[in-house]
Amino acid sequence: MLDIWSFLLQTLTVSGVAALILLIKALFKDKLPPKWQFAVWGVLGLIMLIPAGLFGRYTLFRWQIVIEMIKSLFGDYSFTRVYFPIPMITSMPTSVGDWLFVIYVLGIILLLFKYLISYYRLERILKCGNEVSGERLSKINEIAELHNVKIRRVTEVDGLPSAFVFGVFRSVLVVPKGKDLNEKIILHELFHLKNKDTVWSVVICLLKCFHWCNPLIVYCADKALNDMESRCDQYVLESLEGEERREYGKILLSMVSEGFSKTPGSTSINNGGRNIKDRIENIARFKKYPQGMGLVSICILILMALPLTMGAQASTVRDFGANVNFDLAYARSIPCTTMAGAFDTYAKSILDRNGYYRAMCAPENIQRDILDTIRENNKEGIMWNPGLNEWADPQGGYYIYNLVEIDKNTYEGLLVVKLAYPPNGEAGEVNMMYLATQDLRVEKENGRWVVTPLEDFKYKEIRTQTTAWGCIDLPFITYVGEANDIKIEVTYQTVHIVDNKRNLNNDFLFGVSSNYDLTLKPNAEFSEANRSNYSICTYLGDESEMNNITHIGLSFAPVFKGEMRPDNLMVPSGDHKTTSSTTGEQCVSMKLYPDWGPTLTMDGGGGGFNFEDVERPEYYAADLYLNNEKVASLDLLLQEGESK
Amino acid sequence: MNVYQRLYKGIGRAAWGYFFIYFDFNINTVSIIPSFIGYILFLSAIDFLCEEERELDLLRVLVGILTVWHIVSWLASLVSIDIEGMLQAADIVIGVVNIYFHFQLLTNLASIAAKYQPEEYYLDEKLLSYRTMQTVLLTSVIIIGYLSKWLGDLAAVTSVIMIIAYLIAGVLLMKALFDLRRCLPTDA
Repeated sequence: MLDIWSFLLQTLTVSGVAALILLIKALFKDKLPPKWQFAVWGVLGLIMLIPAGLFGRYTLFRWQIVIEMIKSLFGDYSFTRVYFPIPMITSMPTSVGDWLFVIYVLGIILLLFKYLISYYRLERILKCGNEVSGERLSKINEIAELHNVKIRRVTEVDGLPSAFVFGVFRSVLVVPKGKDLNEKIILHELFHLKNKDTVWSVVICLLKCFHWCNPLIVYCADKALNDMESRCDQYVLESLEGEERREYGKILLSMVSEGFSKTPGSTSINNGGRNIKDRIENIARFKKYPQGMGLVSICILILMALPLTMGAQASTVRDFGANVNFDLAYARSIPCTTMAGAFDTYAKSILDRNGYYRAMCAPENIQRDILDTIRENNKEGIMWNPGLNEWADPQGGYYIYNLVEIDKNTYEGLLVVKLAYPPNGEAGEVNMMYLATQDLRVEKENGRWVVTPLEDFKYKEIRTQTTAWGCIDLPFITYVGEANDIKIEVTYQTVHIVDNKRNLNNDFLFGVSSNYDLTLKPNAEFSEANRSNYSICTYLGDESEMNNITHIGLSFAPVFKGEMRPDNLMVPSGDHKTTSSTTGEQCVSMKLYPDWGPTLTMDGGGGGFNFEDVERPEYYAADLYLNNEKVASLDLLLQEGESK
Repeated sequence: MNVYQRLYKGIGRAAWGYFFIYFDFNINTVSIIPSFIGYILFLSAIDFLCEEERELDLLRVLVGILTVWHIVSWLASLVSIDIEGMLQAADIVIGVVNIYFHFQLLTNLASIAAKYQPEEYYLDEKLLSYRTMQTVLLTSVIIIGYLSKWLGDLAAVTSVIMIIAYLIAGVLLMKALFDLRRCLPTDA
C-alpha cells in the first residue's frame, strides 16, 4: 500500500470478507464448534495478507469501481494498485491524500508502540515473580500431564487477579502468588499454551494495527480474540462433567466486573465483561459435537477460503449513460492482466469504436485525453473515434503480426484489422481485401498491461481471402546471406490470434453457426500462432553466366538463441517442390528457365507454432544447391532495420 | 399421529427430498424436477422429525435459505438467467449452508436409525458413511471447479467421475432411507 487509495481498496476488500464471515458465523453460531468459530478468522487473516486486486481479481465486490470513481472526482486518473498488504511511504507527501496516508501510517506506529510498551511492562512485572515449586508445581504438572500439555516454566506473581500465559516464543504459565490454584482456570490456560494462542494473539493484534481506522476490522479482531477464549472454554467443558461445568460458568461470571488488560503475546481467561457474557452464552449452549464435525468444519473453511482468496475476474464494462467520468472509472477498474488481453481490448476498442475499452488498456497519462475525447465525441453523437477514419469490419476480427518481445514487460506487434469498405470512399474491387494496420507497443504499467500506438493507421489493399496465415504484402523481417553470386533472402512473419469465435447455435440441418465475439477478454491468452516464410534468390554475378544455372534448391531452418546449428538440413529435390516441417525448416527446389533472373521469388511455407513463443530466430542456417549439387552452407543473418 | 407414523412420514419425505436434489432433468434451461421441491420436502420432514431429534430445529433457518435460493434460481431459469455465479457472496453462503445442512440432517437421520432399526441392519452406519461421502464429494467437486483453469482436462475427467460417484451415493442414500422407513411399524 503506497497511497491512501490502495489502503482504501485493501481495507474495503477486507471489510467485505469480514462482513461475510460475520454473517456466516451468525448462521452457524449454534451449529459449528468454537474451534471452527475461531479458525474461520484465519480466512480473514489470509485475505488481509493478499494484496487486493492481485492479478486483476476482486473479492466479493468490485471495490475498485468505487475507488476509481472517487479518484476521478479529484481529477486523479492513475491506476490503484496494492503492491503489499502493509503500508510504505515512498515519497514526501504533497496532497491531502498523501497527508491522510501519513496519518494512517503514524496511527499504525503509535498502536504498535503502545502494544510493545504493554508487552515490555508485563515482562518486567514477571521478572519480579518466582518460579513455582513444590506442591503447587506438582498440581499444575499433574493437570498438564493429564491433558498432554508440555509446560516450560511456571511463575507466580504477587497481586494478579487470575492465571494467564505470557510470551510469544518461550511461553510461561503465570499464576497469582498466595492464592489457591483453581484447576479449571489452570486447565483453560494450559489449553492456550497447547494451542500456542500467545502467537495467535500477536498475529491478530498486528493485523488489527494495519486496519486500525476500520471499526469493522477492529471489531472482528476483538471477536477473534474472544473466539480464541471460547475455544479454550469448550476444551475445558469437554473435560468436565455435570456440576463442574456449571462451576466453570460461575468462575467466568465472577470476572464480569473485574478489570482486564489486553497485551499481545498473552492470554487471560478474563477478557472483559461483555466478552465473558458471550462466552457464558456459549457455555449454556455447550454440547458435544457429533463425529465427523471436524470434517464438515474443514470442508466449510475450504469452501470459504478458496473462492475468497482466488477472487473473481471482472470482464464487463457498463455504460451508466449519465456520467462519462464514472463510466471511465468503471472501465479503469478492470485491468488487462495479460499482454494478449491488452491487444485484444485495444483491437476491440477499434472494431467496436468503444472508448471504455480504450480506457481499460490506455496508459495513465492519456486517460484524461480519452475522457475529453469521449465528451467531445458525445456532442457529435458518436462514442469514440479511435483514430481510424474508416469503418473497421467487426466480424473480420483482427490479427497481431510480428509480435516481438522488447524486454520482459514490453512487446511490440502490428495490429491488422479488416475494413468494411475501401478507404477514402474508393470503389471496391472483387477479391480485394482492405486492411488498416498500426504498430503497437504493449507494456506493463502499475501492474497492468497498457497499449500505446506507435504510429497512425496505414491502409493496405491485398488480394487474399484471409490474413490468418500470414501475408507477403504485410510487414516481415528478412534474413540475408550471400554465396556463389546468389543473394538469399528469407522472410519471417508471425501472426498471433486470440480465439474470439463464438458459436451461436448448433442447427441439425445447417450445422454450427458462429460470429466474432466482441465481448471483453482482458485476461485473454493467445490461442493460435502461425509463422510463414518466403525465400527470394537474387543473382549477382555476370549476366551471361546466369543461364548456366538450370536448377536451384534451397534448404533453411531457423536457429534460436542457445540452439545448435542443425547439421543436416533437408535436401531439395524435384523440379518444383516445397517441403516444410513443424520446426520451421523449409526446403524449396525450382527448375529454372532461360532468363529467369536476376530475382526469383520462391514458394513460401509455414505453419503453426507455440503461441507463447515470441522469440525471433537468431539466424537461419541454409544450404544452397545449384544444378542439384550443394554448393554452399551459410548463415542468413537478420537484415537490420529493414521491414517491408 | 403416533411416533412411528410421524417418523414414517418424516423419513419418507426426506428420502423423496433427496430424489429432487440428486436428479435434475431439464427442458432447455428449466428443470422439470426442481430442487426447491426437495427442500420444501426437507422442511416438512423436519416438522415430523424434530420431536425425535431436537437438533433438527436448528436446521429450519438453513433449509429456509436454501428453499428461497432454489425457488429464485428456478424462476430465473424460466427466463434463461443463471443466478449462480452472479453474486460471489451468495454463492459462498449457499455453498457452505448446503454442505452443513445435509451433513447435519443425515447425522440426525442416522441417529434416528440407530434408535429404531432392527438389529443387524446397520442403517445408521450406512447413513453416516453416505453423509461423509456426500460431504467430501460435494467439496471436491467445488474445489475442482475453482481449480479447473489449472487442472485442464484432468478437471473435466475428475468432475465426471465424482458426479457419477455422487449420484451413486445419492441412490444408496435414498435406498437406506426407504429401508429405514420400511423398518418402522406403521400399524403401531
